[in-house]
Amino acid sequence: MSATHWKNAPALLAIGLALAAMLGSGSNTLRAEQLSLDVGVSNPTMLAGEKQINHIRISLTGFDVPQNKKRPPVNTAIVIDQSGSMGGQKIVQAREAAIAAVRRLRDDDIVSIVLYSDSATVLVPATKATDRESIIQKIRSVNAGGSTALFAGVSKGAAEVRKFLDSDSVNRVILLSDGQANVGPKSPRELERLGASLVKEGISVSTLGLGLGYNEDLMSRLASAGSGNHMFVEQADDLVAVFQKEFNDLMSVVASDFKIHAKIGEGIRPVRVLNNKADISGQDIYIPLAQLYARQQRYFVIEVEVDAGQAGSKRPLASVTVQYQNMLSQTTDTLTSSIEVRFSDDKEAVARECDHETAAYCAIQLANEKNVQATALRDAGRIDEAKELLLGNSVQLQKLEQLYGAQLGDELSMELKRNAKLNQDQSVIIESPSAWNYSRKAMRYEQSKNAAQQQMRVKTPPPADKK
Amino acid sequence: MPRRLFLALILLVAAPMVLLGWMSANAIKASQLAAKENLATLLSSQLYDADLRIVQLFDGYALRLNEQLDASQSVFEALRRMRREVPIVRQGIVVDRSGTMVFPRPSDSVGIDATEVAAALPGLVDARPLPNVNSDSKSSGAKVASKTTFTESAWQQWYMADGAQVVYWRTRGDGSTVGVLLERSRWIADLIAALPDHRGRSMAPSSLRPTEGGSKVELAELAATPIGSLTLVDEAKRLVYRWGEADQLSLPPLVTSPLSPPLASWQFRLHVDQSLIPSSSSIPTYLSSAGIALLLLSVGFYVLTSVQRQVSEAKSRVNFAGQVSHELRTPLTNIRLYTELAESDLQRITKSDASESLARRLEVIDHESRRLQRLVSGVLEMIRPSGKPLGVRREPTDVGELIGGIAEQFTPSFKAAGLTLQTVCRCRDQVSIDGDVVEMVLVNLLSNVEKYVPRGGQCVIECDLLDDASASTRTLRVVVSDDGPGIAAAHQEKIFRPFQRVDDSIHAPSGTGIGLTIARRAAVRHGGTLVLSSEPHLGGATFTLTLPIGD
Repeated sequence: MSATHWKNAPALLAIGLALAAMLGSGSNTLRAEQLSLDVGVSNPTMLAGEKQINHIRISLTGFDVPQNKKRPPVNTAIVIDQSGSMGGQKIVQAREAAIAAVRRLRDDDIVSIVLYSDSATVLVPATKATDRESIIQKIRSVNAGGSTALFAGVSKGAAEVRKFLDSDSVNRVILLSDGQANVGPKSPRELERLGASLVKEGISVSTLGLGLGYNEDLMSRLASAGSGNHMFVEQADDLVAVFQKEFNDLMSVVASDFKIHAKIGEGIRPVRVLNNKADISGQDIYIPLAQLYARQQRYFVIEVEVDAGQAGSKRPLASVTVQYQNMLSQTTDTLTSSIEVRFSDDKEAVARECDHETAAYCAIQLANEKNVQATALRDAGRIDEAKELLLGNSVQLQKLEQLYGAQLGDELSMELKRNAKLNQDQSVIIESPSAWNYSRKAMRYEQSKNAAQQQMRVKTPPPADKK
Repeated sequence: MPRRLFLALILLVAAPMVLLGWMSANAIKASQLAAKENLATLLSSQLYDADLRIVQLFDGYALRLNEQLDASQSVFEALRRMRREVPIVRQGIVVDRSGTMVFPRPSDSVGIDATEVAAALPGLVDARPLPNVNSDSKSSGAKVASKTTFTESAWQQWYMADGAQVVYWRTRGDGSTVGVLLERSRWIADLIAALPDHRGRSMAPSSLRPTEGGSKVELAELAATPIGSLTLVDEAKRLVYRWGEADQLSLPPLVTSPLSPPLASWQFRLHVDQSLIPSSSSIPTYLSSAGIALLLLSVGFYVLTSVQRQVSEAKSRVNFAGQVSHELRTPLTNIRLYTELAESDLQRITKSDASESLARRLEVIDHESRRLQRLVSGVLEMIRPSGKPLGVRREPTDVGELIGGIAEQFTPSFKAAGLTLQTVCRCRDQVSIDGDVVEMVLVNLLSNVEKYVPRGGQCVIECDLLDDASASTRTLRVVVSDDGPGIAAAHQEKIFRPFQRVDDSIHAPSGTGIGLTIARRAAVRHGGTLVLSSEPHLGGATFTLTLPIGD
């Protein structure tokens, strides 16, 4: 910060320094970057006199990391599959990807390398990245062979991260696998529960599925529960790029350790959180989230059942509290927001006052849920039904885009279009039995991406909430 | 004969070999088992170390859960918060004094996972290890105690969808019980994290964040390089985790030990490379038994060859004796022929003192040559192949005349020995019989009488024909009895065996010991028998010869 003042006239130096000192002491609380919290509801005005479903959207947007700010330190375990199937180009590329990632780390970052095949091996125990060359030397010695003890790999990786677990650093396990877990617990459910458990202590899990042999259910559910990214890497040659992307995300984390609590008002029953395993207990909804990237827009859609209300009355719908660790200011910040619904007899007013932006976001998540159902139908061999579901999604999203695209803004409009096209393409591709293995992995990848808004970044973050 | 001997030899070698082999195999087995057990006890310290870590892990959970439970005034609130924030907690349970589950309520859990847990809870609660049985007796004390005081804790193992689940139970001062269903995936992950990695490195049980210092040092000591391959298997014997040397999983486990509670249905298994189990001791055993076999075999072979040599030597001796006897026959016949000729010549010349003495001498020559002939026939009988009814020449014979002639032959020598010989013959007919056989038997019997019956003794030869009505055959029976010392019952059969004598001492009368053998062989060759009667007629020995009579 004071560097800018150095360039000013020497006469102003003393004043500048004084200013800098003053700002430095006070600015953290006054001018610190904050996330923005936006809570919306699809239908702010609801038809009176009947029980209805409504959707609440809780949206968090990460701020941009200023050029002169140091990014928070990273504490990551790179867990690499070294089973027999990784032989050849795959392991070569995995080594290259890991080496490239290690080279990007700063001296105060912490890294560990865990390998797994028949058992798990801690190749590099959690250590500061100061001695990169010896770490890289060790990575170069990695060879493939054996079975796939995926669970053990994740367990050991998490244990390495846990050694230096700190709320001021970005704690993440990055799992690379190209095969089916065949030693130890191996069901998607078991891995999912492990991921959820790790998130509770602030460790996120990203999964990179390599090739066409991995278990996409296991990998996508682990990443989803683990609050990390899931990637489908078809070609080993893309691995370095995907690793770079993952590390870009990792290094752009601006907030972590979220406690998102939505208190749902009386007379409203929380049904579920779309595409998310939230903890719902009575009127309280707790949504797990480990990290938020710079400029990432992350939102959750809560489905609620609203009891019949009288026309003209208002009802508090939800009050949302978000507590998080601000990685830049290293403080625990809290954001709050609340929302209410009105009841009206006027059907036109209900339609007119519809929040199309929120509705569009909700539609994307609803479509995503149907997309997951379509995958299940296709698994059961009911191709026609799956197709119908996907085409329905496409048509609905397209319609939304055509009707309200203009007022929604470019980003959301594009997202609607992209999803509409995606569903349409998938409705065609699922017909081919030979391509199903590939398309299923692609579908899971898109589903995870949508559910976690892995790639949604706003161009300019909205001004921080001052609530 | 040699084949039988050979078989006997093989048996002689094989039997001890088998015994030796069995014994040494047993010994090897026992020693291997002992070695294996030693190794197992030695190596199971690794399992003990591993188990210790798991005990520490669960103790750590208990400690942490207790802290969490004590941290909040409202136990419901504490359990709700723990489910959200404590990684190891999956679901909290509260059972009140009356045994009713009061937490979680249906609204406390929404979602598929929660529904599954809720479905399993009633059974789990019923089987909880801390039932409220004694809560009534404690109730008076409990009222005094603070509301949040916990008194007892216990672990429960329960089976649900994924497998074994662990529940931590604690009784509260107010008589209610709090349970915490642990997250299975999480404690498996913590187990794996607490166990050494593939290369034997390990770390402290992680999620409990041990106090710095003491425990870390202690655990560092445990991180020794593992010997063999160690595996952790779950309640369904599925492999959960393994570490140590690879490539030994196909072998059966050397040691299997259950984990400590609350995971008693899980097991540690230790697989060890077969080469680690000492087994070299079998080679010397095999070598020594092979040596013993060789020794036995060579001794057996030596015995076999020497016996064979002796047998062949004896055979050649017998052959020689037979040939000599044959050779003796011709001159003997000639001697007898010319003796008879000389006797008939002597009768033609006028009697004088000289001719008288000449006749007596010729008589002695005749007598002695007959004896010699008998001896030669006996030898030939001996070497005749046994069991073959050869050389029996039946011709009508007057038995009385035959026996009388034989008795007459012995009269001079009996008279000289002071014995009386009497013949009683009750058959007058001509019977078809080989006279030589009868003569051979009687001569041998009578010469025995002559040798063994003391002076003044008597001998009776009885002879009769027996009619066997049923078989329509007739049998000639000749009984020779004396009043000599007789033969003890113990020797009844022995005397018929070749070269066997009752008294072989130097004072005994001379003899070859084959007389009775020759006699019996001759009788048998004729289809008859020769037996020693158990009831002597005259108090001495009584032999009975029976011969079937041909037509």
